[in-house]
Amino acid sequence: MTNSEELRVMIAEYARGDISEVRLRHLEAALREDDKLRTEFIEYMNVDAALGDLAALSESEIAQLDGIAAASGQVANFDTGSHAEHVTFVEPNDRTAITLVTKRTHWKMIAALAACLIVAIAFWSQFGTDAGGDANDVAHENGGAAESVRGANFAAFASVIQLADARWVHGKPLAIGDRVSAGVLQLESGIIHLQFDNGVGVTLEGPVEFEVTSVDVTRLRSGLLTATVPPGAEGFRVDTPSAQVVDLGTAFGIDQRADGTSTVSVFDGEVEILSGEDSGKRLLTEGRTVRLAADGSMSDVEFNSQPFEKLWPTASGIAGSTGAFRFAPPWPRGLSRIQSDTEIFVLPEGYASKLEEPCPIDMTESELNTSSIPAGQRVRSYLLQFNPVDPTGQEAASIELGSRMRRIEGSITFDRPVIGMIVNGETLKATDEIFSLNRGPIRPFARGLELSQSRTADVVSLSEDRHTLTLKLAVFDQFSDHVRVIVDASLDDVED
Amino acid sequence: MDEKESQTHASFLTLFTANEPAIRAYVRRLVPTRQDSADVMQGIALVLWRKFEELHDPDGFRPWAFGIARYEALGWLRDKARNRLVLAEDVLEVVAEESSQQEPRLAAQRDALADCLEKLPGDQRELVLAAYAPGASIQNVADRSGRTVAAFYQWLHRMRARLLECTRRTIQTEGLT
Repeated sequence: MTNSEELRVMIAEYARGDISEVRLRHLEAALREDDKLRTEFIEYMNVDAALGDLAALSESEIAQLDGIAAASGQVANFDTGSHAEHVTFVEPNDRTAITLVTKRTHWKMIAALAACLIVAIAFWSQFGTDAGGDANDVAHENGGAAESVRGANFAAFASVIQLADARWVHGKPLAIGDRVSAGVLQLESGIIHLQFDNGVGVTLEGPVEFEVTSVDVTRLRSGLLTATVPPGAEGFRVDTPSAQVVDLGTAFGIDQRADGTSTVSVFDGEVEILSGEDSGKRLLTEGRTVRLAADGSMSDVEFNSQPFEKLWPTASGIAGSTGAFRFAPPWPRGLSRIQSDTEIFVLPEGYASKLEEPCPIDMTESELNTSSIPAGQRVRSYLLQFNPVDPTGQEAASIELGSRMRRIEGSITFDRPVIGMIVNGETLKATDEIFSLNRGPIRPFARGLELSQSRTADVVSLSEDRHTLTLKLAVFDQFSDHVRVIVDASLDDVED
Repeated sequence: MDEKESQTHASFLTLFTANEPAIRAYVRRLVPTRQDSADVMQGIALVLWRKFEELHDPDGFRPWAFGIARYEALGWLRDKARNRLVLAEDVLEVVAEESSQQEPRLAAQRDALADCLEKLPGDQRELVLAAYAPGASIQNVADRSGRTVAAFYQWLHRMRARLLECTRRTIQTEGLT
């Protein structure tokens, strides 16, 4: 069921013209049945229109428009004799500026009229044809330039949150933090991680050609893609040359080849695949792969996540690592059996989500410091796990300090700031319920770190920008060390 | 332009000016975006003028104009927005109907909005208005506010919710709900 906040978001999407078909139909059905929601919809639009009116009259805007009028020196002429439906411009090639001038003339007049309640016939010659003009709106006179001006308003749907060795085919390269609007993205090689405004994460590996149409409609023309779609963003769609892949709340990957064939693999949850072929519609669940021929016909093949593994660290929000860190594929889950003497495994724990209850943490800086993260905060968690196989083998990243103890170290960098760490056995246990759903059993003993001044102690330190965590762990025998890292995953990085 | 025609112009202008925000707000509820409502309004103004002589009672201007606006808006959606994502007509019909019924309250809400905006700290009010200003680029407004575009969207969403809430409280205390 869609909750009311989600429906409100759909109303906002509808009002700025970038709602997807699936979500529109959802909203439509809800509006049909729910008169409360209808009232909300009506009020939203009412306030939206009124805000536009007020904004059109604001001082700063008038000043800005005065500037444009002065700069362009252009005049709009209206054909008043016949109440003609067209507007004649002195210089038709700069429609944007000219229309601004005419709108402004109109609005200044309305303002004057409203203020003084004086109606003068003499005004008619200017008022006539543009009476219905909406000052909210720039240059809506069929002009392409107008579109792009307008387009700047609500056209960006995603942000670049990570790049690795990206080489662009042509055009202006994107940088971390850049906004992505509707258009085609072509990467010759390297990896890019996009975060859509609805929380969907898309990771692409070049060579890739990927088109963004809206916040939940995209097209993969060729290349490798993985997408993770958090609850609430279901309906995210990736079109390929032969099919539509509609996400139903999952993580999945598409390998689209230049010859038109593709494979779709579902790592978690399920997706719906719609192809032009008669075979039509197919629900694909976790742990399955289908191959699509160029004509859209589907056949089952063995599940294979291998082509996507290179994308996983980036897709999971890991910007990089050094030393002993190794990345465990986020899907399928249940990887607590991983054992290694030389590596600290990074296990992403499910999707980013809002905390339903406060989450206790043991460290916010490099020192022990008990506190908690408030409910409502959107976070993502990772379990860093050192789980030795046996007490003997020694490898590169570990330094032998004693016969029954190993020391292992490394750094890991997240693409978002770390809020806090959980290192205490009790706290780990207490937070397993929040973060470790669907995971295999975790060893219930001796999981926490020993943080003290002794030379055998574990060291956890966080960089100043809170992105990089350095771990120096000491482990005896079969005891394992765990650190749960809670990373900020808010979609809105500014709170007021 | 003879005397009678001048008078007709004058009275149309008076009525249209007084009712234009209401008509635009009404149209706004029937079409997806503000651009669309601007488009539709262009046509409506002309139709209202052409048909003005059919209106016998000036007091009935608003409901008469709403009737025309509804017809024009739904017609526009059928013709011009065929390939666009638009709510089904039956839903829009209900929205149109309920909008007309609720107009006194909605008008009060629009009036209340100015006061609610006034209650915001100056810099926040300016940002909201800048985002709604003609030709505003969200990128620029977001930059000005020191936020990313994504953060600014979220912020704007919250501000709009806050303003809506404020207008609701205002009209509630005025006994209009």
